[in-house]
Amino acid sequence: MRRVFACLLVLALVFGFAAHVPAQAQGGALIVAGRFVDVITLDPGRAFETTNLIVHHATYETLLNINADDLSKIVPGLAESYSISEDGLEYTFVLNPAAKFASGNPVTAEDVRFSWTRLLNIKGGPSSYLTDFGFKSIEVVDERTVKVTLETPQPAFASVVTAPALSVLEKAVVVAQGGTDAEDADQTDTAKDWLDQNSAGSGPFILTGWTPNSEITLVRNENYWRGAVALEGVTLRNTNDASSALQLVARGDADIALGVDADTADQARGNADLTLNIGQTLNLLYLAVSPSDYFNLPISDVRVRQAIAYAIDYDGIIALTGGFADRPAAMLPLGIAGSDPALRYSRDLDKAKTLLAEAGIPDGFAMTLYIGGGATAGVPREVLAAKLQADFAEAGIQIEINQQTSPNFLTAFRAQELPMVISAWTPDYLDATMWTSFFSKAGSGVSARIRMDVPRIAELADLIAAERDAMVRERLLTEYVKAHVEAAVFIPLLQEQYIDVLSKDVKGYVFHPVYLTEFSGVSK
Amino acid sequence: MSLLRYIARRLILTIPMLFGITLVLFLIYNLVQVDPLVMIVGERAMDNPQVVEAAIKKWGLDRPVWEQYFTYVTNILRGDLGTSFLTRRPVLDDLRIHLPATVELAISSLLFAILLGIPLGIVAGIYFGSLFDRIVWFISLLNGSLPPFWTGLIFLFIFYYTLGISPGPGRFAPRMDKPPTFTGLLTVDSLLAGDFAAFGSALSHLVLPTVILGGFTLALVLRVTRAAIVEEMRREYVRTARSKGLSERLVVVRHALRNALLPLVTIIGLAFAGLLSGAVMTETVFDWAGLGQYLVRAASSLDYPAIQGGTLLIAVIYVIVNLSVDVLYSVLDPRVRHG
Repeated sequence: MRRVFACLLVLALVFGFAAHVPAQAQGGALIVAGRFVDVITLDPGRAFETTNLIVHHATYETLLNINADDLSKIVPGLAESYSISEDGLEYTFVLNPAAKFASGNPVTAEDVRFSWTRLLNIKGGPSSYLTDFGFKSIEVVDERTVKVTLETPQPAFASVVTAPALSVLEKAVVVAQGGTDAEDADQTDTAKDWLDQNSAGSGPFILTGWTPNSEITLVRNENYWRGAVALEGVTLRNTNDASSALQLVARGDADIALGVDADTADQARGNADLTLNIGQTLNLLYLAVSPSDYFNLPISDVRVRQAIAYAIDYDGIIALTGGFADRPAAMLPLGIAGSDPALRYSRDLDKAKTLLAEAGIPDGFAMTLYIGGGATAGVPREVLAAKLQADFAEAGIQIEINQQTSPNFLTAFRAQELPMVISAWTPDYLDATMWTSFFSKAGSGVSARIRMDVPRIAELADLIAAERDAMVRERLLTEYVKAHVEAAVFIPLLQEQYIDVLSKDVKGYVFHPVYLTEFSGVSK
Repeated sequence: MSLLRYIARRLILTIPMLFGITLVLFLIYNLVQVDPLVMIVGERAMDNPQVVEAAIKKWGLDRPVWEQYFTYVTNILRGDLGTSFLTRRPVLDDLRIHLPATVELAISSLLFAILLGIPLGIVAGIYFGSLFDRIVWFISLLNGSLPPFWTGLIFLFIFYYTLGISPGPGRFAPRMDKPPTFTGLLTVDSLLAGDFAAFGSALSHLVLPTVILGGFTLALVLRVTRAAIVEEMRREYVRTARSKGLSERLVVVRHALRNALLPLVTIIGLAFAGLLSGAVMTETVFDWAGLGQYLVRAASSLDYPAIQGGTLLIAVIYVIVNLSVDVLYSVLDPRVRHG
């Protein structure tokens, strides 16, 4: 009898395993393993998460583009050219006559007007791409020309136009699926269900399906107006952790593991069949120290804040990420014109102690550092806080760490009740104002949360927002960085790098700091 | 006839029970004073009054509580479990997407546990105290106490990454075409499509998670069977059967086992309901997009409609399983029906 059961067990396992056929050689779609559970919808008028950027950048197109090789240059997309009126209020876009949708129909000015008006009237999160920039109206001038009017001059607007939320959808298709751009589109538009599973764009790929928490499938757009791409398709397959994603690539079940951590990257380094692709993101992790008297703490003295900046062991923090990070001098990431790494603080404990002595507290002081949950570049907030605690102690500053759940932390931070915090910032579009508009003014943005009121920085931010000459703007930005370094309110700790593991057969893969990936040039 | 009447009576009794569950669920939602708005519109959009106002109106958050409950119950009666805050999709659709993965894994785990657990338990019970018994006992103890997220990762590392004899995480080979969806159970759908390669892929992907998840139930089934057999084998009727000159096999199968089945049915029923509620750890390690993962995400994002819908579904599962267990019980032991 015993033998029978032993045989049963062995049989069951063998039968199950025998049914497993190891991954066949290459060809077919590009399989991308990563964490894609953030997807809520794939309707460009509604999606406001991260993974949708990958999908939308592959299936739709915007009027203008920013390529990964030069983040400061805006290049044509669906629009072959554009012009800005003398007063900076009117943007006129001329569409490329060759541009056509995957259906084969030409991309017209009416499609642009419809897509943007629909986005606006659905009133979802991504409508802020228009409303935050004083968007007033969009009108069709002729078949190939649209004119956008703004309330106030916004030099950043051209770079906002590259955001996937402002993609152009084929009106006829969306309307046939229940879409509308009417005033009450938030109640009456019913195209979401269809757009979750299909696309109506002009991009190199077509969306063919999405199974929540499992996978998203794209196939090549054979009609692509710039010429069909090499890949047959792309499948985004959800994996809950980086080490499974790496295993899938190592065993040939996937071609790319997207966004792995430093430990997994180390594991991949030892495998000759794998290559690492390191991408510089624009995501910043920073320490914010309030200059306000409100908290009645020594940090309101600029010398004390500078002492804090000198006390931090920046290299040690980067070592915590496994070396997969960099850092700018101020809240303007490396890669953005005007961000000068030469202005960075570096550790100098003597200087920190001298500054504290000058401020009248040679023996240091004690205060609380507030943090939320989560991790940046693989380093959990509490680990980073403990590192800062040790660094500060060497300069005589005693830190107590107060960690809360992220919603509670953010609520207190927004209520302007926290004197010193660690937090992070991720851009939505590629213009310097993505940072200068949020880290400069007493009344708004993150600077308001930390009660920063530095007139010089606010004044520079206004000049930067209004300046249209790129050279002048860059000079102003350098001034802006200097003013920030001197004020020592926002001290950048890390600029995150994004690590992808590729099978060595994958060619032409490019990381993009906003869209995360560029699949159009990939082959295998 | 009396069996049918028994089932009908039990079914009617479940109605007030389910009604009570909706009330409790709704009360909990209203007792926990957390504003779901941040969840609905997102952190950055909270500053935009237009977006916030549209969300409040859309989700009916400005209505009085009793009205919200009334709408909630009438909607349920119409088969509408509401719309998830997080996924913005009807909860019923979400459950429909995530349930088949869980059902497939639950069934295969249960089969694994029963097919191995009962025979092993019988043998261990008969040879109570033998070396075999002690080995089985140790393995079942180990099985029941090792955390699945650990064993799952180790199994994947050994059988998939290192040896390559098992498929990786997920329900299906990434480079293979999935069969057309009919039931959502990939093994069944691929057989319906007559695609044996797809069936092989679906089946082989079930092996590791089944061993991990079914291992718990296996340990449970084995222990209960073993104890019941040990107990029954000491009874008078077994001695009588033996003295009649019946073979040992008939004594065990016809007499002892039949009586040992009663406690087993209860245990297996409850275990199956538990398996159907989703196994968070196993599902996470094996990227198994099932109910467990869906509900954990819903809970951590305060997605009330999804939590309520999922809880209601689990309640229904337990009610159905309990009912089936009781019916099965009354078939196995007619005394129960009249008790």
